[in-house]
Amino acid sequence: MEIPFAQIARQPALVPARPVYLLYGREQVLLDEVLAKLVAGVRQSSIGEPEVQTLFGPGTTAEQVGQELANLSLLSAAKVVVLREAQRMRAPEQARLANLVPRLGPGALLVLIAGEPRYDAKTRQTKLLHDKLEPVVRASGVVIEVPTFREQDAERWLLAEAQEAGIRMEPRAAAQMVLLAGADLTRLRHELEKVVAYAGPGRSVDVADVQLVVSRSPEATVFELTDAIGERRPDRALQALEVLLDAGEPEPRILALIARQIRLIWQAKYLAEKGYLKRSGSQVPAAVARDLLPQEASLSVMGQVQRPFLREKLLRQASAFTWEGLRRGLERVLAADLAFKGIEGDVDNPRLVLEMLVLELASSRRRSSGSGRMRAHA
Amino acid sequence: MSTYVSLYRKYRPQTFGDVVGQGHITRILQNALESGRVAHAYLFCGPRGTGKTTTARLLAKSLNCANGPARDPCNACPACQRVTAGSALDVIEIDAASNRGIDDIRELRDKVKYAPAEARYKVYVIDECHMLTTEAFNALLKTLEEPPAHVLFVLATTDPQKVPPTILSRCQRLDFRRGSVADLMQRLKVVAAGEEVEADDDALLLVARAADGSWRDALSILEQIVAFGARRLTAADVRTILGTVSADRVVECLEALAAEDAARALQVVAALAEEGKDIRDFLRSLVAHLRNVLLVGAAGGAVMPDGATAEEARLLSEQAQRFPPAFCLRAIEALSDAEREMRRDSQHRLLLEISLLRIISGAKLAPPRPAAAEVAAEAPAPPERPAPRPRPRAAEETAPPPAGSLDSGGDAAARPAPRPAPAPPADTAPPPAATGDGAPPTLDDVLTRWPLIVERAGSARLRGILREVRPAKVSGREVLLLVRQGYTFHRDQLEKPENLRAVADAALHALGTRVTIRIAMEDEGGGGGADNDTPPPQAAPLADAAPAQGVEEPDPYDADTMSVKDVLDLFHGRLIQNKDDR
Repeated sequence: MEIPFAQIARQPALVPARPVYLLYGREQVLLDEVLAKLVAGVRQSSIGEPEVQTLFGPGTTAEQVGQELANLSLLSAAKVVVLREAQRMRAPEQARLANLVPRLGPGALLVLIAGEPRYDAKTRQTKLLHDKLEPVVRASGVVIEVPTFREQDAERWLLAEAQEAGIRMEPRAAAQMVLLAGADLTRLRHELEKVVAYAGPGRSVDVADVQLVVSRSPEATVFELTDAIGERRPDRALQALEVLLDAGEPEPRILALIARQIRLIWQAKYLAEKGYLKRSGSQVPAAVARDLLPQEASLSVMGQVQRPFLREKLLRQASAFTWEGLRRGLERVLAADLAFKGIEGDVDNPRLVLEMLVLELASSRRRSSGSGRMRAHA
Repeated sequence: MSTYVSLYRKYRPQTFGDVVGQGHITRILQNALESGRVAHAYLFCGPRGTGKTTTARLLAKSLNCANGPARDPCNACPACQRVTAGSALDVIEIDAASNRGIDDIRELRDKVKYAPAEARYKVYVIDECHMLTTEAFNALLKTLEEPPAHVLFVLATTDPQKVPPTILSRCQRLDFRRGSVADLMQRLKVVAAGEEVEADDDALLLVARAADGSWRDALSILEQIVAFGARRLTAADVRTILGTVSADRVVECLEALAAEDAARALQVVAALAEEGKDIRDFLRSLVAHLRNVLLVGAAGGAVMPDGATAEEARLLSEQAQRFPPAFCLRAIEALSDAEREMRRDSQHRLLLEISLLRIISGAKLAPPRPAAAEVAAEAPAPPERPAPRPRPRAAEETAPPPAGSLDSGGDAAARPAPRPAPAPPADTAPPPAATGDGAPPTLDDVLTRWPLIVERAGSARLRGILREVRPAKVSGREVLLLVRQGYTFHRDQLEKPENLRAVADAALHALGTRVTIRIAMEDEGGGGGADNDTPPPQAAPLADAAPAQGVEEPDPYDADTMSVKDVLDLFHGRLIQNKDDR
């Protein structure tokens, strides 16, 4: 039996109708919300507080799960056993658990929490759990899929959560927060807790607060880096590079992120020149997106331009670069990449290589005649 | 007997207010303490010596303070004093670098459930947590997910990339920053005063810089210097003790390079050797200074490196005006090469000297290198699809480069302007024509410059191949390279167009004139043999080295341009009679 998430989203509690529940999806925060509703439902339907026992898939055996379900504390009215990362439980143990599930009786609730379904190349099917366990759970329990959080919903979610936490957050601050931390809900929740603690109750949060407090994702810092390059601000670009290096980000990865950003700017510039992309929105014909843009979401500008804040930034960067500048940027990145990989030249000081690359990109409006091999020797 | 306590321990901050440079973190923690919203697990990230462990202890102290939990510990109650003394039973510090296995974490997990022995909270500080094994991290997951109410975890790491996402998602992450030179200096002043040491600002500046943003390193360095017996610190003392090189030497050397004064540059190296300074340190200082000149130039003087004094700022601005970015880049390239060589070769002084001479000779001889962009720009047309295609250079190409731009419009832009005073030395040679079509080189020219050509020939692989090759003959603009007998692989590799182009490019740099490269084996007669009568098949008409429009490339085998010496070289002959003499 499968229940749509939307059906339970507004309910404060979910009284369990079956002895086993399988919750799956990418968003840990939403999975935890459903779990909390289930526990609240158990609390409603029993006298007193239920005992909640959490286990983790890796290292847990089916026997341990069975024991936990059987052992009800004298002080508790009911028992909830939560098996997180159920998909990471060893396969033989999942098979044994499959034998246990049909025999579960009332008085205890088993909640299996799994991540996203994965594609099995052998069976050519996506699956969550072991071949034996999943059908059994679906037959004798309830399955709830939590939806994947959409980036465009992140800002709204943040504003609502901030209000609930008792602070006022400027919309631009929320947008900046998503830009810096990404749209991962778990991470956003942690960052929001920090921002709330930093601001203090009843205070308002602006962009500067967010920039000071929020831990930047590497992608966000690279965006700052390319932003600074686009605005010809070598000082800011070097600062961003330093943040990345201090965070322990490997140099080849930074290089790859710079390359990705230059490619995104390239796409944005092209789409803007063709009139498909404007500050007011994006209307990229399906044929253009299909035939000209990379199909891999992380490499395509299509994922970025849906959000006004990112679209505006990308367009600003795109207008700051000439075609020649973009081409040259990619050439420089290629030279550094070959050197990092030892294909052409050696790299003894990768930090210096990246610094010089960034300085070149951020300083040069015209062609740079600095030695193209410099990076390969630094 | 009193026990000696290191400075960084003696002056460890005892309140959040004492923590300098991490205001964003102390405010979060203090507000959380005040509002009772302390997270159950924190991840403190940041470079070493930035205050992660200190802050964790302060947090533990504030939570367990008899007058707390409070924004700051009172430092007077027994609980605070025990944490300060490191004897608190409920503040458990674990070095994950040496306790990284699953058994260590299982032991921790077993003890977590017991209530604190004497305090309000049990605080586990797991230092260098990225060193834990995957199994240990997995074992920690459950405890981190739902720790007992009396437990707080602080995980500290210098390398958050190595912490699994499952752990990251269960902790509130706080990023510690490096201390600025100004902040470090301020702290050093306080400590120096506390230790009754008189210290010049210049001396503390050097210490702060050497610490590279680490508070602990700054105090350790100061301690090392104080232990040397000095009660009054000067910059010279600091340099002597740390073995660092005077900034004056760096500037002197750079000025010598800019003035193309080889003698002066070598004198600087000799002086360093005499003073017993580490040549590699000097080289790194020189690279760092050149980087700063580049940065200041690129930012148009609006930005200065962290901690630069007014005098240094003035010097950097002035040098950024005079030293073109192309010169700085080339010098960094050559010095980086030398540093790499120093790992394999103990002749550090010699390597530095060669490197400096190369920079000078490069400045004298190097014509503007045709940029790849320039070549590619021959193929215009705006991109029809988002693929890397160049566009015709529009107005931006005609606009002058911005101040401090890395663009270089030619040799003049690639050479530093001499310093207004003192006057450049008399032996400064004028630069060669920048066009690259100067007089054809002689064999002597090529032999003299051969090491430089090899060095500039790009990849290590190509340089390795060229070590089995020698220039044998120069005919007009064609240089014949002989590959060692039997080294056919080397010959085949060299005959590849891209390698021929790379060698020709390197020769263009080193000789200041265009040449074509021809390859032959030693056992093919060395002189090129019979194929000298016809244009050589391997002669590479290189795109980059093609003659400028309207300039006729002389035929190397033209009787008018071939010298008698060339003919003698070609046929290993001797002169009996010169017809023109009759």
